[in-house]
Amino acid sequence: MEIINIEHFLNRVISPSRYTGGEFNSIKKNWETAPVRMAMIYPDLYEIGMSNSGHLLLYYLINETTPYLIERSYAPYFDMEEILRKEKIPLFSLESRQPLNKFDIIGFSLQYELTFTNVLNILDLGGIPLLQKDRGENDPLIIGGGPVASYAESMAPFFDLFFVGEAEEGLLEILNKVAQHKLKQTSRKDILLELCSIEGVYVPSLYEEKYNQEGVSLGLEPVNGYSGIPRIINRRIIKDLECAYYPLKQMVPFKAPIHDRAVVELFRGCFRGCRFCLAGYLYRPVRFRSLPLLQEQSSRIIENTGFETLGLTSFNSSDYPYLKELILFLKKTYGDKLTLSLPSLSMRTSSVELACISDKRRTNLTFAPEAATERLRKVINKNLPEEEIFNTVKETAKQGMDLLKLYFMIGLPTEREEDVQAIVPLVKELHKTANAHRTSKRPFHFNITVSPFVPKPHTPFEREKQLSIKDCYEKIGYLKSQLHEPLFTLREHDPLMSFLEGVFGRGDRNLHRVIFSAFQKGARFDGWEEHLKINYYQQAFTEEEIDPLCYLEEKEGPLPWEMINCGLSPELLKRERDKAFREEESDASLFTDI
Amino acid sequence: MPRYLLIFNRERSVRFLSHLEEVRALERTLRRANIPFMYSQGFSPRPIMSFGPPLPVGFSSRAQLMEVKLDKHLTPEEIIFMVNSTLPCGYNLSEVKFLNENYPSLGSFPMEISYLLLVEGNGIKLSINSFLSQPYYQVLRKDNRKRREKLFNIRPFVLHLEIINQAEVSNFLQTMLLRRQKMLLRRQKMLLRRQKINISNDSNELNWLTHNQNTLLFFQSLYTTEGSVKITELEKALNVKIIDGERISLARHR
Repeated sequence: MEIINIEHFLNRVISPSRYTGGEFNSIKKNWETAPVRMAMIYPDLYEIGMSNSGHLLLYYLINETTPYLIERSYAPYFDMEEILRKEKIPLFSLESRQPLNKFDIIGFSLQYELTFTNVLNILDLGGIPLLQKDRGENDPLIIGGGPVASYAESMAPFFDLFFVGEAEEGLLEILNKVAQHKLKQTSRKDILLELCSIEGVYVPSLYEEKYNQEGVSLGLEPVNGYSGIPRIINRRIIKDLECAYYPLKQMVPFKAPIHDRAVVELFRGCFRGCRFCLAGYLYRPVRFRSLPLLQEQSSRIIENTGFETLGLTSFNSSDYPYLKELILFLKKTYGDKLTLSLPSLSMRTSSVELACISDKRRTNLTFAPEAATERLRKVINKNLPEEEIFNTVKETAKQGMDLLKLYFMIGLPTEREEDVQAIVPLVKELHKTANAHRTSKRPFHFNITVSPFVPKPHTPFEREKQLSIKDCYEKIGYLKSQLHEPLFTLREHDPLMSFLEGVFGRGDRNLHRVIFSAFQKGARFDGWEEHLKINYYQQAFTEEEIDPLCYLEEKEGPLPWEMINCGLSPELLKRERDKAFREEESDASLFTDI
Repeated sequence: MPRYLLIFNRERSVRFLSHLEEVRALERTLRRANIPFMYSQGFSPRPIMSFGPPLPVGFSSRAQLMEVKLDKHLTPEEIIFMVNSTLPCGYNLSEVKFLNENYPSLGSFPMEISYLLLVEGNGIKLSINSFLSQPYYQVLRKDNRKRREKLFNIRPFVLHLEIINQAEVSNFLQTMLLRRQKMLLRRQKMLLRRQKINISNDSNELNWLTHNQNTLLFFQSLYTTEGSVKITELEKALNVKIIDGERISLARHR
């Protein structure tokens, strides 16, 4: 086994510890004896990837409980890519420093549409043909997982398979099957035909778009000539979290990730059913871990890592029924030597109290009212009355905070001019309330972030129209002119990015040509404001003769992600959409999952 | 409260850590090892610890220093044992010294730091002689606070500089390294072996030197609160390219 030598040029790159591996609790298995070797890739910089607990969970699950081997790799930064290309060194795994094309399987964690060009770059640097149809018998199988894998049609021609849903059980089934076939030297095509019978597996090359006599698309259907290809792909979830594997020896990276902490997972799924939110619909139903289990896991993780911060993660931590008990237990056991982090809190007065006891040094809180009018909040099913917003802000000020971060969306379905304008008086009133009740010596400051709404597949809003770039800038410009320093800092999510997210998120297979072309022109790290080069995409759309704007329109007819069943019926999504237009709220905990 | 000086080796891939990354990694190691840190008083208690001068990224070292204050008394052997079993691969705690109360704290006294540098370039002997023969060697430094550049004389901070013969490296090191330190290392290896913890045998060898035809320099610098010389400045002054380096000792300057 030849190890790629990187040490002679590591001094020349920014942050060499992104590429060295060897972190405490990383696992380096014997390369030669592993029956199947998989590379797990998060297609962004190391410090972003290391903050994603999902792909690390699978890394530990497979490495700790099976004979198979998983190693990690991340997107190389520009300087590293330049050296790799110049010196003709393939992109490698962190643990054994093996080229990516030596692996049996490459798994990508797809969390965000704007990492698509990084996926292509990583395959290219790893010496793997980009298109599925160009890959030979010795090339790795390319798998996509994570939330975006449930609607990644615009990337379908690059992938051998997507895995939809929570992958703990499914990945093991895939690895077992690949191990059997590796011994038998089954052909690539036959392996894929085998794998498509695993629940949650979607093999894009086994499906093609069908048209009726008038040439109108009927959506994707299994290709002719094979039997056993499922017409519907059911998303997988782990039914019982209490018995599910959870890594207790977590990675302690050298290079600080953006979230530099250990994590426990309180629960999966979300009660809320906000109609714009993919995660709230994709991972239903809600499944809790018990308090004693979390206490035990937290203590073990802290002992095994030496982390000074523990993240209590889930979609909406304040929905965990024993959150207060858990926080008090951890505070009692570790005192001030452990900081607790609650990354997502709903806008309620009780959240403020929890945030304060979890970290008494805390001086800021983040909430997402999303919409400024009662009406629009009903449309999106936010279940947040104005009174609660004011009470929460009052409580925040009383607890000694001096910074509040608020998130709003523009371009939501049914949005009218006055809904956007209402953000201004609401924020100003909230600021007055905060200042009137503040106990901190410093004047109260608001950070407001405005994001354009991007309709997501598998949600009630999956067919909605997306706001144009021009309208986004106009609305943001208005808000900026009204809310400014010194009391407010207003930032926006780049409308150009929202535009690309919308296009590729609801796109069909044709778009893979655009992504490929943008990658060839040099598009990398498109989710980074400083790196996004929109002109690459403009040129790519023109050259491929694809009008991106049609992807932002209201969708009629079959949807590119229609064969993926996320556990809720199309009727339910339609009913929710109708209710949205009637400005009616629903109790999402009453949704009947299929 | 008892105070200890911890001396670490670093080699292989952890050479590429920055100072800040190393500080964080070692602090977490001590937490994992259940070393009873003493914490600072106040609103945000922090473990009381300090570190030696930063090492250039890419350098290995036999003298990475860390000073800690503990809540209770432990023997140096206990600390070595507790810490080594949970250090990231590439680090090794080679020595722990108990510091008595009036011993000055790390960073409060001038230090002599010795390095072996593997360099590439022409006429190295000449440039060393000309560098050493002058009382001044001015470099431009950015003054971050005032946003302007100023001249700084690095010559006083270079105590010693000489080319050494590759063949004599190991002899050279034998005399450089204290016998006591080696003994400690051996004892601690035995301890670890008894606990079935693997540590590499080559931890005391300069394997990066063996297959190279470049020039080897012995360089001793002075590190004080008033100033020090940066490796990159030396590189420029001698008109060489430093390919690799190792910090071999760190001692109080008298």
